[in-house]
Amino acid sequence: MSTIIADNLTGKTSAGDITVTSEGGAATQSLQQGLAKAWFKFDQTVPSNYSSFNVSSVSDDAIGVYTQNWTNSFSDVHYPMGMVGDSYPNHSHPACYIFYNDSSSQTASSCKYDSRGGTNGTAYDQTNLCNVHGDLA
Amino acid sequence: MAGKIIADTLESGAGADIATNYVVFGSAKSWGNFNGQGTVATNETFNVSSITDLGTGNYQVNFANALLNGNYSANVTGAYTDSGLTSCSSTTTCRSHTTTSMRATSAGTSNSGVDMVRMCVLIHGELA
Repeated sequence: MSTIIADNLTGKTSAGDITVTSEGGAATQSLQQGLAKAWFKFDQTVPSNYSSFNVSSVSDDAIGVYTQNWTNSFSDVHYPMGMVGDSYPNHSHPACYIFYNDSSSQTASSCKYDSRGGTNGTAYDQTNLCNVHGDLA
Repeated sequence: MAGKIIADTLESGAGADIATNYVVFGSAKSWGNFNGQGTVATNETFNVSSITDLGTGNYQVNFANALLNGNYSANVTGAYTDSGLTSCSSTTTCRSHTTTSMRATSAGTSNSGVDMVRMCVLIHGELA
């Protein structure tokens, strides 16, 4: 067994491109592009993140509307996000998450989203769980 | 010449370590952000060769490098309008997982297909 001890990994040919061999061995793929660039578990009742990665702060914009601010910015505004959650206290309302797509609401350094219940009402007291991928600046 | 390192574990200077299989298995194998309204257009993707428009609210995501099997995890999230959506009028889901493609679908409250201005797809699993 071998161990690499390092603080930083940097590509040799291209600093931002380290490839890893696939599980099946048939392909190689970018390590950097595969890594999640941010994630959070957010408690609307506080409101604050239970835990997070690459999130500097959260803005409470309105009931059910929040902005997560990234510590390290993305390279553009098209990074994909996936979100699921739970509606407290009855846990029965199907949740809907709306990522605003206009230039002022999703930027390289932050993303605004709206969480709603299944009857179109503005949601609150939810837990939001989100994974963010894409390219960092 | 590019270098190649074969190792079982990565360890930071602070002493925290992680097995390299967590890095390989834990990394997303594909992701994409595309506009599903009108002519489908990708905004930003990783390991996506193309998006096929199969009908209203029905998209096929085609992978550049194939997955090992059809048992990969997928997360699909969408936005119906450009900004300030005032109602929760759509749902997104995924189906028809094959090693080379997956369908991402979006529907309105009547369960009929709805084209989304923004579809986000995240894929985890094993590459072939």
